[in-house]
Amino acid sequence: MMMDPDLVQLDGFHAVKHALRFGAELLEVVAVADSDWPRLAAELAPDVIDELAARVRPVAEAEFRVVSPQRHPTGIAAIARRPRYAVAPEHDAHRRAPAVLLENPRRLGNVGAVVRVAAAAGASGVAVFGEVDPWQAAAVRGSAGLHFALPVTRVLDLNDLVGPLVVMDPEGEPIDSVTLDPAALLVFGTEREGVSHQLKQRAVQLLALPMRAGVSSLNLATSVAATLYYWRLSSSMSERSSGS
Amino acid sequence: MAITTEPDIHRLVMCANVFIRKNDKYLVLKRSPSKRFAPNVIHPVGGKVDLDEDPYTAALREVHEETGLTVKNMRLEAVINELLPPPDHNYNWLIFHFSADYESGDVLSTEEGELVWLGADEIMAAKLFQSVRPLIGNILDPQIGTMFATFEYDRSDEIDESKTVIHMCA
Repeated sequence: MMMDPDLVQLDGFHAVKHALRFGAELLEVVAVADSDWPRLAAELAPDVIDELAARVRPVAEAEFRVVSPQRHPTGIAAIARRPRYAVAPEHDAHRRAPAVLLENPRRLGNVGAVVRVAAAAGASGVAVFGEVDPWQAAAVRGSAGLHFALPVTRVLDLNDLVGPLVVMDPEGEPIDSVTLDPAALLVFGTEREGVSHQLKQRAVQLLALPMRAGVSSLNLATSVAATLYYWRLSSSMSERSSGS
Repeated sequence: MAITTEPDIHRLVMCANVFIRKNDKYLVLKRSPSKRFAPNVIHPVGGKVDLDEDPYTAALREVHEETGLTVKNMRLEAVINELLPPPDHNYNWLIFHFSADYESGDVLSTEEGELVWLGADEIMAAKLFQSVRPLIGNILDPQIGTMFATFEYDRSDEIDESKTVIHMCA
C-alpha cells in the first residue's frame, strides 16, 4: 500500500506510545481483538493509557493488515500526520544542541536507530540527505516512533545548511581533544563511503572517534550515539565543574 | 529467503480468509471511504488460525464470528506464503484463501469494518490488499484450481515483485 507522503505509519505498541507521548497528530489507531496493548500500556506507559483507550478502534485481522502490512506482533498500529516544522533542524540559526545530518544513508533501520539515539541524547534534530525518506515505515519502526520527539527532515539541497559544519571523518582530529560546539551540525557519511568531498570542504572541523588499532569503522547509529553522548556528557561535566 | 529459520522449524502465523458468495456477489470487508489512509480498501472476511486449529475450521469460525453467517461448499482457492524481512520480523504468514456459498443467516453489523456485497467486477476494480490483488482472478473463478504463491516484502512494506513465485494446482 503506497503511503501518502503526508502520513506516517506507526507499527506496534512502542511506536504508537512514543507518538502519543510526543504529541503526534494521530488520525487512526487500530488494534486486533487479541492485541497485547492494554497490558503493555499498564506496565510501560500508564501516562498514555487513557488517551490510547479512548482512541483505539477494534478492527478485524484483515483490516489490521491494511494499516500494518507486516502485522506487528503487538497487534496495534496507527496512522499519524507527518509533522511540519517552522524551522528545519539544518536551517536553525539558534541551535542550543547539535543537530545531526546524515548524508546518503542506505539503511532505513540505521536511520531509525539514529533518530532514536538523537532523541535520547537531546540533539536538536536529524536531517537526512539522499534517496531515503527518514519517515518511511521501516525507519519509524527503527526509532520506535521517536521521530515525533524531535524534528526529523529530508534535505533536498545541501547549499543552505546553517551553522558550523562538523564532519565526522576517520582522518579528523580526535573528538576528545576538542569541545564540541552546541550549535554544530554534525555530519555523518554513508555506511561505506563516508562524507562527500563537497561537505568536507565546507566543514569548520573534521573530527574522529578514537578507536583501537585494527578496528576500521563503526555502524552509523553507533557513531552518532558515541558522538552525541560525548557532547552530552562532556557538556554536563563542564557545567558541573563551572558551578562548583 | 527460505521460511525456515532453523532446520525443519517454520515460524509462521496462519490465517484463513473466505470470499462468501451469494447470488453472484461476494461478502467482503471494506474500509471506510472517510479514512485518510487506504480508504475503500477491501479484504475478505477472515483472521488468524488459532493454536491447534486447522485452517478449514478457522475459516468457518471466522465467518461466523465476523458475519453471523453459515456457509457451505468451501473450496480452497489459494495458499499464500508471505515472507517478512528480518530483523523486524522473525516469522512469516501462511494465508489460506477459501471461497464458499452462503447458506443461512443475516449479516451482522460490526464495528470492525463495513461488510458489503460486491460483484466480481466490482472486486476486480476495487482497491485490494497487495497480496490478494495478483490472485483475485483465480479466487473468483471456480473453474481454476488452487494457486500457491510466495510474496516477499521489502522493508518499505511493498511486495518485491521480482521475488514473487506462483504455482497452479489442477
